[in-house]
This record gives sequence, C-alpha cells and structure tokens, in this order.
Amino acid sequence: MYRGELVGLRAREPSDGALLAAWFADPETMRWWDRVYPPPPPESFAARIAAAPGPSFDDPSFTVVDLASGAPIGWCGLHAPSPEHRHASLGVLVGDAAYRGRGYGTDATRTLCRFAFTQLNLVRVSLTVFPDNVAARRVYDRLGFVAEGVQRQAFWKRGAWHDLAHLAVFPDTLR
Amino acid sequence: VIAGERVLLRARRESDRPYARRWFADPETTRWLRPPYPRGEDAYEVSAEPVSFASVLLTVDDAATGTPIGTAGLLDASPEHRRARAFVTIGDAAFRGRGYGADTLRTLCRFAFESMNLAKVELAAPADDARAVALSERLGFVREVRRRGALWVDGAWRDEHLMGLLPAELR
Repeated sequence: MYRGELVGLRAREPSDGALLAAWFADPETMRWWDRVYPPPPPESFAARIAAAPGPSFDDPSFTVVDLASGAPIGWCGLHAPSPEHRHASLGVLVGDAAYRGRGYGTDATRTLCRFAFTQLNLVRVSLTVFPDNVAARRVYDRLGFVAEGVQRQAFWKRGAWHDLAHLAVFPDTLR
Repeated sequence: VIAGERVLLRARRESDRPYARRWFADPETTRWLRPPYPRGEDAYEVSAEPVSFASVLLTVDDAATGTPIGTAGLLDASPEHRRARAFVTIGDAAFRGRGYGADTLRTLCRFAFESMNLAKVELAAPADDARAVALSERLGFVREVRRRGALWVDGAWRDEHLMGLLPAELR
C-alpha cells in the first residue's frame, strides 16, 4: 500500500468490482466525468481486475482506501505512462459520497502524483477538467497544477459542447 | 480518391511500402515523429479493410505524376464528440517546402468537415517544429494548449502544442 495522510493506494481486487460499477453509475460522480455511456456490469469490472497483472509501470491503477478504517472509497490511476517522455495523465474518483468535500480526493491526487514522481520517475502528470468545475480546479490549484490552455469544443455532453481545461503538475510544483 | 489542388489522398496499398521505407529512412522525416524507433517496411500500416470513419489512413500522391510522396490520416475519430486528430508527413524530400503539406492538410480537413461531418480537427505539433506550427496556423488552426516538457526529442525536453480547427476557421 502506498500511503498519503488520509488515504492509501492499494492494488485493486476483484471484490472492488461491485463498488467500481456503482461509483461509475452514480450521476453525481459522472456529472463532471468525460464519459457518455453507462458503465459495464459489476462482473465485467471484477473480471477485468482479475485478469490484470496488478499495478505496474504500464497500469498504475489503484483502489483508494480510507487509512483510518481501510474502507475502499474510490479509484485512481495514471493513464498511459510514457517511458521515453516520462509523463502520464491521471484520473481520481472519490466514489463514496460520505468522503467528498473532506480532503480525501486532494490527498489521493497528491499521493498519486508523489507516487508518479518518486516511484515511477515521471516528470510530468497532466489532467483535463471541465473549466466550470470550480471545486476541482481549486483543489488542483492548491496542489500546484499549472494551467496549460483550453481545448475548445472538446466534449459533447447533455446536449451541449464543453471545453476542457488542461492542467499539469511537475516535481517542483507539487505541494 | 480525395482530390486537393496538387495532391490526391487515397487508400494505402501494398505497392506503397518501398516508398514508405525510403520516407522513414530519412532523418528529416522522422526527426519529430514519435516513438523514435526505426521502422521496418511492415510498419507502414496497409489494411485490407476499407477506409472508414474509425480508420482514415491514406497515402498522398503528387496529382501531376501519381507518385506517392507521403502519408496522411485522421486518428481517433469520435462520433459523439465529432472530432479527430490529423497527421501529415511529406516523406519525399523533393516535395517539401513547396505547399504540398499545406494542400494535404487542407484537403484532409475539408474531407473531415464536408464528408465525415466532423465538427473539429485537432493535431499535436512540437513547439520547436516551426514549420508544422506555422503551416497549421496558416490554415486556421488555433494554439489551444501548450504542454510543457511533454516531449523528449534529441536530448532535450520540448513543449507540445495541441492545436484545433473549427469548420469556419479553415482557410
């Protein structure tokens, strides 16, 4: 387990499949997610986790747990780490509503970035966020993410085009 | 065949491979291409499937002579978000710096908008690849995102521009 202050990142287990399916089906969670279709059934999450060889450079994907209780509360991962360019994009999801707005997502994001820099030897972690997702942007600002620009008309969701803001954090900017 | 002013864009075929081998053996062609590894002849992807929304991989012919001079295409086309990522490589050195790249990219974008009904074409260009950045801006592409140190090329970190073009912006 890789530890932050409030959360730990551990390998995903097939038994996390049902939780993941529920989180990805939650409209509140998916409101800001750049994803259109309903998630696949829980069995397919479980099967995919069982088939994966566990966290590695090519698939640094984790279940986020509350350090105090050990309860799984979310998911996070780095997408497509590039060994030559030494960067990756990240995704973090606090699926358990009871843990939202209390710093768990911030801690998970910081812990994942620290993992990327100190363990994987990456030098850049990026993400995209809906520009009007004010709460998320405040968190990324605080963590030391730098705004790199806005991708226009990047996404069609709920009957409208949405832009995506691109942010990145570096070993010397992460707080 | 998709006709530009001086190029024709068409489905790739097996007989393009010897040309592709020469293009990708030229360091000037591959300087900015990633990944950086040498490409064999079989790396030129020639599919038995017809060109389709999901896979627009083309060979660029010089319209005047019918000679294959490079490759172009649209990747990751999304039907919901109606955008795709364009790439163009003029591999034959004799056709560089003479407007063939611009004609290819313009023809490709026009095809994306008029035939595929895409609403945006995007491309990624290394900030230090001045020719690619200037060419795409001339056609109307807008610099949207500058990804700091996103590319390692020739022993240095380099920025990458993500550029975007809406239909009304194409010149």
